[in-house]
Amino acid sequence: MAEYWGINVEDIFNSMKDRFRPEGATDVTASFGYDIREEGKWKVSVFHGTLAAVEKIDNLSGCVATMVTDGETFVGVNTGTVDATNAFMGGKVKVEGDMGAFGRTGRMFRKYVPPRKEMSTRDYLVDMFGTVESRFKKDAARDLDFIITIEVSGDAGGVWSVIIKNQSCTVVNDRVDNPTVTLEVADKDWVDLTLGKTDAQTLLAAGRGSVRGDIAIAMKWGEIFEKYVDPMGGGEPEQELLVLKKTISVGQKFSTGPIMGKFLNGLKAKKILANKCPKCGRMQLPAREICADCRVRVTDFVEVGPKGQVRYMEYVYYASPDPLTGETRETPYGMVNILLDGCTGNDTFAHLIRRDQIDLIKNGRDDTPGTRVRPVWNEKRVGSIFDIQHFEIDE
Amino acid sequence: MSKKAEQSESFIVEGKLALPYAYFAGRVGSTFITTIRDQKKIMGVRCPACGTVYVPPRQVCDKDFTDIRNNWVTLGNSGTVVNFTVVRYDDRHLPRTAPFVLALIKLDGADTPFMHILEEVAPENVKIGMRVEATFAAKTTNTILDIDHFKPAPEKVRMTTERPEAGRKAWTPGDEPEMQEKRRGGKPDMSTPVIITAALTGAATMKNQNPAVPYTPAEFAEEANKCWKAGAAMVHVHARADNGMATHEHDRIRATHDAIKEKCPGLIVNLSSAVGMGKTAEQRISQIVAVRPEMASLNTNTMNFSIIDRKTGKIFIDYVFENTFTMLQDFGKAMEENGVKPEIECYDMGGLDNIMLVAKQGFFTYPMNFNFVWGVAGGQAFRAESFIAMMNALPPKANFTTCGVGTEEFPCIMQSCLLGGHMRVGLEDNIRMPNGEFAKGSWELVEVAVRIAECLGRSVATPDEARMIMGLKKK
Amino acid sequence: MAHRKKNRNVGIIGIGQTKHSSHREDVNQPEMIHEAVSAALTDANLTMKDIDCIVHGNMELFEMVHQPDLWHTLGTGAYGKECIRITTGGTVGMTIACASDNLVASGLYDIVMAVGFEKLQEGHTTGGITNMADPLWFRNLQTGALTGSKAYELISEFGEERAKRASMMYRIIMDKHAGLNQYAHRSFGLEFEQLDDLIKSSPKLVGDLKLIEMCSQSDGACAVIFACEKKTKELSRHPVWIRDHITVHKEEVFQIFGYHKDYPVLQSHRFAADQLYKRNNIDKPLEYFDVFEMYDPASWWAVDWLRDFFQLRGDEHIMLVEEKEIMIDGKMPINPSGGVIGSNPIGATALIRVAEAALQIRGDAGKHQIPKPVKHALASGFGGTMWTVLMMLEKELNWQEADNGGILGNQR
Repeated sequence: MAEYWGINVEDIFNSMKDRFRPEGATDVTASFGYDIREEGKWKVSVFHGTLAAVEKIDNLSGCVATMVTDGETFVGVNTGTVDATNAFMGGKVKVEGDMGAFGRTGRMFRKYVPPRKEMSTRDYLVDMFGTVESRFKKDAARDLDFIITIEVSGDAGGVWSVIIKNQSCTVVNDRVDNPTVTLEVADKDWVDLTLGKTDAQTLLAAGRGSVRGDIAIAMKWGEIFEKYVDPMGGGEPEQELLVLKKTISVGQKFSTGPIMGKFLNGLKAKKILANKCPKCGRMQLPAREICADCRVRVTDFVEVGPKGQVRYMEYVYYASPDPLTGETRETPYGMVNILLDGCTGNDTFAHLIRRDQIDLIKNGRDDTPGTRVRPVWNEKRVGSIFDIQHFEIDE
Repeated sequence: MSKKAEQSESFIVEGKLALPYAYFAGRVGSTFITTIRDQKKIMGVRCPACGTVYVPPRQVCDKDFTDIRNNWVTLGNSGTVVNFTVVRYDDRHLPRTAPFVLALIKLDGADTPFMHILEEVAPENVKIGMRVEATFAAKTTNTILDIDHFKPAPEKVRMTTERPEAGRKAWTPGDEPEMQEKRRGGKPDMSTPVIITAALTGAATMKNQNPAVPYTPAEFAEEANKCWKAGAAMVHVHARADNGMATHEHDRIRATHDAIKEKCPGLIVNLSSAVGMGKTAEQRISQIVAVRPEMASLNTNTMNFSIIDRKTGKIFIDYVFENTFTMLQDFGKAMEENGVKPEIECYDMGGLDNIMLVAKQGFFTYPMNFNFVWGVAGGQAFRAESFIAMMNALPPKANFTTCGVGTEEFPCIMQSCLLGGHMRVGLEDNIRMPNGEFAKGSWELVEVAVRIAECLGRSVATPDEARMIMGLKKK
Repeated sequence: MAHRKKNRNVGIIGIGQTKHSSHREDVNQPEMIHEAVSAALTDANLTMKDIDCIVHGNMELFEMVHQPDLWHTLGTGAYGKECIRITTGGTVGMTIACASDNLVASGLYDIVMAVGFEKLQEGHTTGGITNMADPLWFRNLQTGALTGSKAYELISEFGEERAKRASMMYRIIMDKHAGLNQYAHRSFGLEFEQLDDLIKSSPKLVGDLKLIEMCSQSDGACAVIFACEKKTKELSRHPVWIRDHITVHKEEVFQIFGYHKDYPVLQSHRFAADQLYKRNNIDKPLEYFDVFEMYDPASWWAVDWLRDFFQLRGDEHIMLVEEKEIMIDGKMPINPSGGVIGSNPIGATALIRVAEAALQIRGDAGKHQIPKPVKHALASGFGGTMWTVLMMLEKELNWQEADNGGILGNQR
């Protein structure tokens, strides 16, 4: 099984039981399939909010949704190395079946964190001196010619010599003749020093360690070597970045004005009143004070409809929360542009269509009529767009 | 069908705008808030180009557009109110119910004021210039309200802990060579603890100049106690009537003296034998004899003791402070006979010479304790060389302390401390801190003296050490 | 349209932008703006002292911050300077460029910096857009900036397969361009082989508008420094000249195409392009311009608008896409930056069009630099209910001759 960033696909599945969050799975009873190319298929079953089974299985029948992807993407998404949205948008991850249901799996599991292997002091020392040459900054060592010998005491200790000459750096795990400066330090202290957990001044002040020879040379260490990167990822913890979430909610009042007022009052009386431009003759729905094309005042009202034909329907799969209520409409729904009887051309009226009829609507175009629709009026009408509940097919 | 719209068709529709949003604090803002939350520390950033310290911190100095994000400085959690407003209406977006105070607070060490809620003080008692400190929220919101509010700062941190000498070994007089010799050689004895005296009232400083001036015995006791806690070994007292006027009434003076002694039994109380303007010689000395404090002031010359506009020279009150040789002799004898150690007040070299003439009669006990007073309108102004001349004129084994009027307080006590002498501060002499802000009490000026002693490496004398130094008998 | 000659010429002398991203938790608004402003100042080798006026632009309601220009002073550098805030919807980035041009051309200021920004992760974009509509009527129905109507129209005209493939082809080309732009927000590494697959698999938003075809929601900022001719010549080694710009708005109506051939709906893009080219004597825009940075909020619209902006007929615009002539090395490179589909910090988006077009003329676009020389660039802004702003940029300050039958006369 292939490894990606040191992790294989099975690691992800095997750890699911530990990573399961019951609070993210309340009321869920479903099986989810994972089809990982060249790796195999897994079926994850949740029963009444508990993780019932994670099985490697060939048959994914009965799953509400199946994720299809490759091993690298799968591991990447689960470890946060690959952006899940990008992988999905870019077609690297596909979901077959109920997309919405599958979305819940994101909340069911904690992120996969690979188990860390401990590093001993000896491991660190070897890694630290092993990376000295690669951390050498050539440009910072111009005109420098010296040898630093580091005598590391303690069980993990040893002697290393770092030879800087002609802008090159060599490290030997031994003493060399005539070092410019010799440092004496305990194994753990050297590790802490290199990891930045302590500093040389503190150690020397505490009598832990000594410097023999040209101390000025020893001070150059930080300038001529890149900082050691802890393979365990320690050091500076990632800063906590605050994100404050709020909802602004302010009451508003709108004056309808006489034109819109008359239009809305018309709805209250089950009448749809268009106002007609005296110049171009277009019918405005809802009514407007002027015709923006002709720049003339439009005061004459004409009752139109209430039935008409659909000219175009927006088939809405994705609904954002309604900014007025904070509620999200159920999807899919249809927003229709209706050419009410008595109107011509583009004088359409926008409203909603009965939800169960969205798949039956035919758009009209040019001289081809669209589906005939009629308004469904509310019992209680207040002078609002929703005095009409929605339109429905007029059979 | 054609109809026209009428104005009457217009009506009002109730609407609402409800939108979720987020605010990303960013690295600088997050550091600021999480430090408040986790470490109860308020941090600002200093612009390396113009030196301005901003709080709340920002990434860029708006004056010179320098990137300042990494120049963090820790500020005090207390500061000074530079402006405030009282919110007197209620609205759901407000953090408190009305009335509450929103104050602009300049934190110690910051250059920009910082707005927050000021509580635990009635709105009518909020004053520009008042000291306030942060109270941190018990529960975090990851916002600036992790500081729950600011409140009036009580005594500074030192006041709630122990006196400055706490924990050190008590000082005992050793067999040092004659101090005077040392002084003359320009090598003051810095090993002697420095005695800090708090002059709580004087005869003329009133509450309208600084509200911390005590009038009642209880206020004296409270203020004396604060000074004692801050590091004073002695308080100098001019008792006051309830209306603030200096009094020679024995009962009031005794009540004041006793209230202080009751509150802080160890503290040395030094009563004034001047009392206030226009008192007779008898009024001035009889109260000393009656109350018998450990120490009392003894003034050394008849002099102008006036109130004059320091800028224009205009005379407000012209007054002659009478201290004839007879009075020097009578007061001095009365004190010594009653076990009251005189603190000899010298307003100039002539006063010192006066006392030395009378001293030839031999009734003063040694060591003699002098106080060099600077800046009285009628006495000499502070000059460093005058100070040294005065010091060099002292008799053997004499101690000296000093006090100065107004801003002269600080240089003169510092010089005294530097030369091995002692220090007197307090609202009698000066009502402001070195930065010009009103002192919150004599105790805050005592703290300044303590800091001076600390800077010079001198320990602060306990009252008992002060007694040893000045030759007092504890009562 | 009434139009007068400029009082004096205006050049672009500094350009800066942030990396556009949906993860800018590390900075607040002024801090993010500061990144772009600093980059523009560095680019122009100027300091804030040299800037006479700042024109600040972003969307209303998107971050729920009132008067952002006030607290953005820390980022814009407007402390003690003239600062003007403009907000005109999606076009705002272009409007601040036009305003800066006008402010300098008028002689009021010698050097003006336009700063556009948005942090869409901090707000609710669709909610904000929806609140633009009539509160008594359309606000109740609107779905933000999402509409499937353009897809419907293209499908009606060119057939389902051809239309869908053209839209997705455009989308993949933009992704490839974004991959070359270090500042772009989204680049998925799409391949042409995925075209049919993506048509099937990408979730639908509204009608045939699919998730992948819609623009991103980004955090980012852009700053562009404009200077008068004298200063431009003094300060810039490779100036870009603003030749002309046009703004066309339309009434608040969401009907953006006609339902009946006998009742045509005025297209603001077409109208703007016609007016602009006419007064600049440009007969064949497709031949005249070397690059077009278009405000392309969705691939369907982008494909359709090519016809309007370049005054094309029939299916010429579809063919441009199908034959990949809009790619960076094609006949008319469109959005070598990856466009709005690649990065969309809305208040900055239209300004980025100007910035990217200018970078192409300077030859400083880096990996997404067009291989052929760029002398004439076009940039567009879009917003509101089909509002249009177009700006023409030039490498040489020689178009005045054109009016007398100069260089443009040659191509007639």
